[in-house]
Amino acid sequence: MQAALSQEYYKLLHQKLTWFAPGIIVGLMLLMPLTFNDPNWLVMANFGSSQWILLVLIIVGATFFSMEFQHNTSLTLLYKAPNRRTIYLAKFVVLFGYNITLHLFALGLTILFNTLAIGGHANWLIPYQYHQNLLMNTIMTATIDLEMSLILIGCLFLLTCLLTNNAVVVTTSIIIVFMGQALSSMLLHEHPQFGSWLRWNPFNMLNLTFQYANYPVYHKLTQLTNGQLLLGTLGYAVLFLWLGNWRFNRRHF
Amino acid sequence: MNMQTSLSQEWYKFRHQPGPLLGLLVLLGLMLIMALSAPVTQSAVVMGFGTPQWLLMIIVIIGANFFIMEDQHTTIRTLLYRHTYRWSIYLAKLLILSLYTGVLVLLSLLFTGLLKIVFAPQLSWQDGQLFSHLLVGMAGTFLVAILLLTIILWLACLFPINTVVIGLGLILVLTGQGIASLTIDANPMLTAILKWQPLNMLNLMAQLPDSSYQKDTHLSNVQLLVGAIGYSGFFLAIGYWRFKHKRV
Repeated sequence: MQAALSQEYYKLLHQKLTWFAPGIIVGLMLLMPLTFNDPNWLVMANFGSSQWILLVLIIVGATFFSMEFQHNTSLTLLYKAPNRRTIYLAKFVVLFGYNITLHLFALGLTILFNTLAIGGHANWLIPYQYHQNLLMNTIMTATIDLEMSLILIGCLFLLTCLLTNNAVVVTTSIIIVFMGQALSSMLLHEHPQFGSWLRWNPFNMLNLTFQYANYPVYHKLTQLTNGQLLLGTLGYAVLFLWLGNWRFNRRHF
Repeated sequence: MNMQTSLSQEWYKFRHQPGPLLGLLVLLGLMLIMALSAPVTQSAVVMGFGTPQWLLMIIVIIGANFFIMEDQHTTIRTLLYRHTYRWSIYLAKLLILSLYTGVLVLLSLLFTGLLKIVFAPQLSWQDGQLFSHLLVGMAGTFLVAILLLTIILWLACLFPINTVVIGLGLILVLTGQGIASLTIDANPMLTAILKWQPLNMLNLMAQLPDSSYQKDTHLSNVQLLVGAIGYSGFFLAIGYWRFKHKRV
C-alpha cells in the first residue's frame, strides 16, 4: 500500500497541471465580491470557492486517472501491484489529499482577502450563523465542502472506470457541477407527490455547502436538513466509490 | 504538400471518427428533450430549443479531441515530417471543424423548424419576426462557435491534454457570458475598455435576435460582430504561432 501511495503521489506532483490549476480558483474567487456585497456572507462562503474547487478536482482528477489508460501504462502498474484494490485506494487517497490541500488553499485565500478588505472587511469574532462566530462558520463551511466534494470524486471515479472515453467523463462531471442542482430542484418541483423519495436524489446532495451557508433559502429547495444532506452525501460517496472499485476490478485493459 | 492534400487528409481522419456523428445525434436529441419537457413558446423557438449552448459544448468536445488525439498518439510527428508548411495542417483542421459547425447549425435550424411545425403549429413564422430572429440567432451562434474553435485550438496547442482543454472550454461556454457582464458592471470607470473583452463577444448569439441584451454588453450588434471576427483572427494567429514553434 505504501509503495502504491508514493507512486501515485509522485505522478500527481509531477504533473504541471496540479500546480497550475489552483490559479483558476484564485481568479474566480476574486469575481465573487462583484456579485455579493455582504462581507460576512462572502467570508463564510469562502468566496464561493466550492464550485471552482470541484471544477479543478474534475480536470486534475480525470487527467490523473485516465491518462494512464490512454498511455497504456496502467498495464505495468497493475502487473506490479499486489491487487487492483490497492491501486484504486491509493488513487483515491492521493486525490483526496489534493482536495484537502485545495480547501486549505481556499481557506487561506479567504483569510487573505478579508485582511486586504477585498469585498469589504468582516470581523472574525462577531457571532454569525448557528450561534457561532464567523471564523468558526468559515472553517465549518470548508469542512462541509470537503465532504460534499467526496460525492463528486466518487462520481468521477465511477465514470472513469465505467467509460473508456475521458472526454465524456469530463463533460458529464462538469455538467453535473453546473446543472445538477437545477436538475434536482426541477425534479422536486415537477413531481411534488414523490417528494419524500425524490429529495434523496444524488444531485440534491450538491446543495450541501450552499445550504450550510444559506439555510432558509436552500432548505425550501432541498427539503432536507443539514444533517440529512450530510448523511446522504457520505452514503452516495461510498456507494459511487464502491461501484467504481467493482468496475475497476473487472475492467479489461 | 499543398492545402488540398492537407484538407483531404484531415477530412479522412475526421470522417472516420465516431464522435462527429454522435455529437450531431446528441444535439438533436437534446433539442427534442427541450421541446418535450416544456410548453413550446415563441422564445423557445427563437433560441432553437437551446441550440446555442448545446452546440457550443459539442464543438468544444469534438474540436479538442480532434486536435489533441493526434498529439497523444504521436502520429502528429509523421504528419509534420511530411509537410513543408505547418500552416496548411492548422488551417485544414480549422476549416474542417468550421465546416462541421456549419453543418450542425444548418441541421439544427431545419430541426427547429420541424419541431415547431409538429409541436406548435399555432405560432406563425411572421409573428414578431420569428423566422428572421431564428435565422440571425443561428448565424450568431455560428460566428461564436468559430471564435470558440480558434480559442480551443489555441488552448490545445498550449496544453496538449484533452481533459484540460475540454474542461476549460466548457467552463468558458457555461460561465463566459456571466463573467463578462459581472466584470463590465463592476467598475463603471473601466466599462469603455472592459466591454471589448473576448468573453463579451460570446453574447453575439443572444443579442442578435434580442436587442435587450445591449444594456449588458454595452456594444452594438455591429461592434459585437467586428469584435467576434477580430478575436477569431487574433486567437487563430496566436494559436498558429504556438503550433509553429511547438516541439513534438
